[in-house]
Amino acid sequence: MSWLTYAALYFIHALYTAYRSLLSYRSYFNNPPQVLNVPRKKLPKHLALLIIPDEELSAESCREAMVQNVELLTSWCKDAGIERLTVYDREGILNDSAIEIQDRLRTSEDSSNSSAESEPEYPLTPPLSDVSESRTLTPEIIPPPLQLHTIHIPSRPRAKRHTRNVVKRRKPAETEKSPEAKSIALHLICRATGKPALARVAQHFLQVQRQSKASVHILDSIDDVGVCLEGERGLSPPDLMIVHDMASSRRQRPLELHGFPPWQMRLTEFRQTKPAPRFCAEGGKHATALLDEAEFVCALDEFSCAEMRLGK
Amino acid sequence: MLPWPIPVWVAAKTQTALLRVLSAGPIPKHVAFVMDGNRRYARMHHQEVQQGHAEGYVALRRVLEICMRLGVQCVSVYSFSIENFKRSPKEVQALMDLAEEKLLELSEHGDLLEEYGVRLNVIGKKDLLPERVLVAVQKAEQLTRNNNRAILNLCMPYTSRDEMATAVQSAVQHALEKDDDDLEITEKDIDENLMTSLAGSPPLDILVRTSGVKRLSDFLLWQCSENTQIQFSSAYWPDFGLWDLLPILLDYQRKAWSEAQ
Repeated sequence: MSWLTYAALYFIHALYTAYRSLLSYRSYFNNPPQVLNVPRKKLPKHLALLIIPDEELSAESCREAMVQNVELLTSWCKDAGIERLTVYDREGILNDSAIEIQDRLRTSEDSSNSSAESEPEYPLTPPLSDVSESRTLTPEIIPPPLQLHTIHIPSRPRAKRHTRNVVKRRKPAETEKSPEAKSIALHLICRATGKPALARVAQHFLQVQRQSKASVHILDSIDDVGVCLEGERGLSPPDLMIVHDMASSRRQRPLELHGFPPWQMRLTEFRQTKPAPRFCAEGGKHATALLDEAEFVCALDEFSCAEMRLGK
Repeated sequence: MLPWPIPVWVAAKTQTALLRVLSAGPIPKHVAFVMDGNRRYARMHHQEVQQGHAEGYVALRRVLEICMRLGVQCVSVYSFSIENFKRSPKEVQALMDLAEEKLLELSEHGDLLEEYGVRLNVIGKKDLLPERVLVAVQKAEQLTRNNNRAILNLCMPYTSRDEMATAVQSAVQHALEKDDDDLEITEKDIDENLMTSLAGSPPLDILVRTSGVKRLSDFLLWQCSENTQIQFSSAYWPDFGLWDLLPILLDYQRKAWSEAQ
């Protein structure tokens, strides 16, 4: 290839880089303010956040920013009425911080409901190790559990006026609960919940087949695999996934999924967070690493307009 | 597609020059396309749905030739989903007719696949296909089986979950046949038993979905979940061409260069 060809290629790339930068500035300034608490035609029942860490931050700063992102998103999801949230990071940094995340969510829940009398319960569910019965498989075919942490955040009533000489009840009456407050299940997952989990399912069926020594195949269909990966001991498919690269400069790059569980992505809608222009990076890399509520709302708005044809 | 008409010879020369320049940089080994938007294209142009699918076939030939001229080793396309059998019988029949006719056209002597040395693989749950289409599949695969410069995977009728479940079944079966109680099934075993791997496809570098939809719709989920750039193009598939592929290729080259540093 001649030097002229290489020069032409680099020139095309330079033009493309300039074009992308212009698009990102235009998109940033043309983004109208969004409102979270408005009725939408369609809301995801299950939202996923795929976080890509910024290696230029120190390990502790990166971890702290990731935990803050989980807190932010949990709060917005509760306000929006989303009942299930999965947060994925490839290396399992958030899995390792599950206890801290649970404590911080409890603290922020307590501070927003300071008059609530009962202690909030946030059972932390580590990867399941005990056997539970499956509704659709026979008892000898109990699927292996997926590796995920689950934090249940129940709904809490809003603060009530206190009156004298009234017996304070431990639990508030149903009619006094805010109609908007919804409980949320938060799952923390990593790469091990994806491809390795499918390999473990295969290994599990191999062991069952060996033990049964039956001539009939135990594993018959997609449903058998699906029950293992999505059932009671698994992870349901997210309706919407927000992919957030904490390094703002990388958000112009095409979408990549960094090992997110493939089985569960069949019909998931994707949205990437956009890069912030350099002059808007107030507060440095840590601030730009955090999710922006406007982006979250845009993702919900786009999802509510998406048409699902399901093959038809 | 460009919004303004230009003389055909100018377009051809420009395309040739652009492909030559792009080939100076890194080229993806495996590109996959979800060819979405044929019906919306037809409605937009006040055509029958079948005409939209016919235009979609023309786009497939166009994009396939571009990929071959660039040096892409493997192209996978989502021709027909197992879920698409839910469509109206009339549309399904039209799609099967198109598949039967075009499979043989593509594989004929002197046509595109022979010109670029492309081996055709039809991947999916083929026992769901009508007998006449199955015969066409077998004939087309046979005609191209000795081609060894590139691969075209036509995924029909296909879903990724069916592919993954089948890979799990195959991995279990192979392990049972080895009769070694210490043998464990790994990710690598699943990967090797995928239909795309069995057809000799390299790892997937880029997945493109047209028509503005931002979903994977059960296509190559395992293959694209790591180290694959996923690109959503707003163009309808019948309109998709080199100018739509250009930014996608440039993004790939930027990634390849940054990884090489």
